[in-house]
Amino acid sequence: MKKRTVVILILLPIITALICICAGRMGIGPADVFKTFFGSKEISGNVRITVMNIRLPRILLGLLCGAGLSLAGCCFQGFFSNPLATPDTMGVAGGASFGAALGLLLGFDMIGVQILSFCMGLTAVFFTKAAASGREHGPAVLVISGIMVGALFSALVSLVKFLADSESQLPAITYWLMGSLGGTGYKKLALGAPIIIIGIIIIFLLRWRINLLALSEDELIASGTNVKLLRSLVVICATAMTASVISMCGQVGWVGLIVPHMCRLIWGQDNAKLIPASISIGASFMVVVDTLARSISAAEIPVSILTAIVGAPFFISLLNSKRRVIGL
Amino acid sequence: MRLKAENVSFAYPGNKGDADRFIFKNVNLELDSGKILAILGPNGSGKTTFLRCLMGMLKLTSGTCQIDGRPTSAMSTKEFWEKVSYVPQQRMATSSFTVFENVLLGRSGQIAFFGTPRKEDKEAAEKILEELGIIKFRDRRCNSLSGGEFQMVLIAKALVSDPELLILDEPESGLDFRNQLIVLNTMDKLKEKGISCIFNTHYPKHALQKADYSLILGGETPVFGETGTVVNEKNIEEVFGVRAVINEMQVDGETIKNIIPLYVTGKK
Repeated sequence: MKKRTVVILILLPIITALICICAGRMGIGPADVFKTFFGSKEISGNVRITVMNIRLPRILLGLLCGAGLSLAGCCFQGFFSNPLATPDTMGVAGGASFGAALGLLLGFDMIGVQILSFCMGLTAVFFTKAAASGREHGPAVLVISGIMVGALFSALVSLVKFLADSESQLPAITYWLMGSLGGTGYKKLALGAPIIIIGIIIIFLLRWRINLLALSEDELIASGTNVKLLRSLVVICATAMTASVISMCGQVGWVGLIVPHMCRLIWGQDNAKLIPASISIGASFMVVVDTLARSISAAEIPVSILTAIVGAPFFISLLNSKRRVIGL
Repeated sequence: MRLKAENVSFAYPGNKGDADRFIFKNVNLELDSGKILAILGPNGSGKTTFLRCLMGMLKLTSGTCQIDGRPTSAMSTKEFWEKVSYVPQQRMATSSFTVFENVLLGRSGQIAFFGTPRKEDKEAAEKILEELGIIKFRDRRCNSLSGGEFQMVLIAKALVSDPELLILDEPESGLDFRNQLIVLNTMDKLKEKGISCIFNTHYPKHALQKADYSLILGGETPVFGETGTVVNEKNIEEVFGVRAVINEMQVDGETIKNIIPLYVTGKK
């Protein structure tokens, strides 16, 4: 990558975040935002609370979720050598959703819901791995067992909804499942963010080596790489990041598919470029979409609706024009 | 480098009391630096299985392989693949990496686990593309190349790690007249550099043209020896079930052997 590109990729999420922190139903000028950051006494309490306690944690969450999801998508696409893989291919989203729904049904507080959701996400992937083990096989078996485990958990989510009290619990579950970055506090962040940050660091360090996963099994052995270690690290990091994101803000779809492919159009297939680009673009994309979600109308729009509305047409046009570039 | 295989056998374990199904039995061979070995045999005679055993991807039922006197089973994966490179049987070029990116993957043994390619790795990749005459494809996507072009990319990828032994699985099959020759002649260049090559083929002609030694699989017992001696009309008929004649021609003062198949004997 050229130096200029690197600088742009580093600055892009920072500038996006600064612009988005000013945007919202209560307009706050950039000057006021900076003053708040530096603890100036001229700023009113309202502005201070809005910036520091509402918008800042939400934007930090947006940055992390966007980076985590697009990176996880990138990893799974590399892992399965399949451009259609998403962070959810191994059933993690189904598991995490079930965990959250169950937590809400049992009346846990938000932190309890988050922890249960994260654990169930990991459990789902563990099931998928276990269901696909036993014989020597290609990734296709893993994909199929991922679909099966996903189906199983989505049935369990339906079951929880069916059992839930339709006045209070059902709306809460439904709203949670649609995904939202709202109501973020530092407590929520402190629990989920470290997992995403560690995942990002490990995958970033492996950014070139992940390319090897595109090779056939024999070629992979012949590369002399510790294949088992590489595969395990990639799956564990991608899964943990996805589970952590979903446990914090529900099912935010499409980011893991759109962003990596958008980056492929510009930087090609080389993960050494793709991974840093996905982190930067994913983080910025998520913050922008979430800012739209909270500012377009008086009531907040669930963010998944926006990512799909932006994502589906984009992806269809991508399929038709650049099939070869993204490897379809 | 000196490769030696002693009494190497491989069998798939039989089901419930059936006898083990031997793919090959008691193969012996030796190969020195800068020599070419052809493994010859019809489809299903265990050529690829033999290569995979040699590379430790399948576990030998009995016998040992040695490199420079050391059993390969005692070598670490890293150590083994520093000396050996592998060009798998060519499939459709589905990779959407560029040629340069793909060749660079061959350097993975030289690059730290958590590292990225350094300047010297990139230079090595450029150099090998230059040497093999495919530098013009440097930035093309592999999935836009023809079969012959992609085969050369795979060879470049195997050579970029500076191996002492190159193992190629049917490098020339499925290629046209000209590309077959390009691939086969590449092995001559490697020979000059002291790199040994082992290649699988179902064309006896290619063994006669290029290989110093041949191993013939698919008959009663495996036959190993100098190509001129073991690739003869009798062995061809036994293994392939084809009556063929081998003749010699003088071209520019060199003796060239050719083989012409006549008819199927049914004896096999």
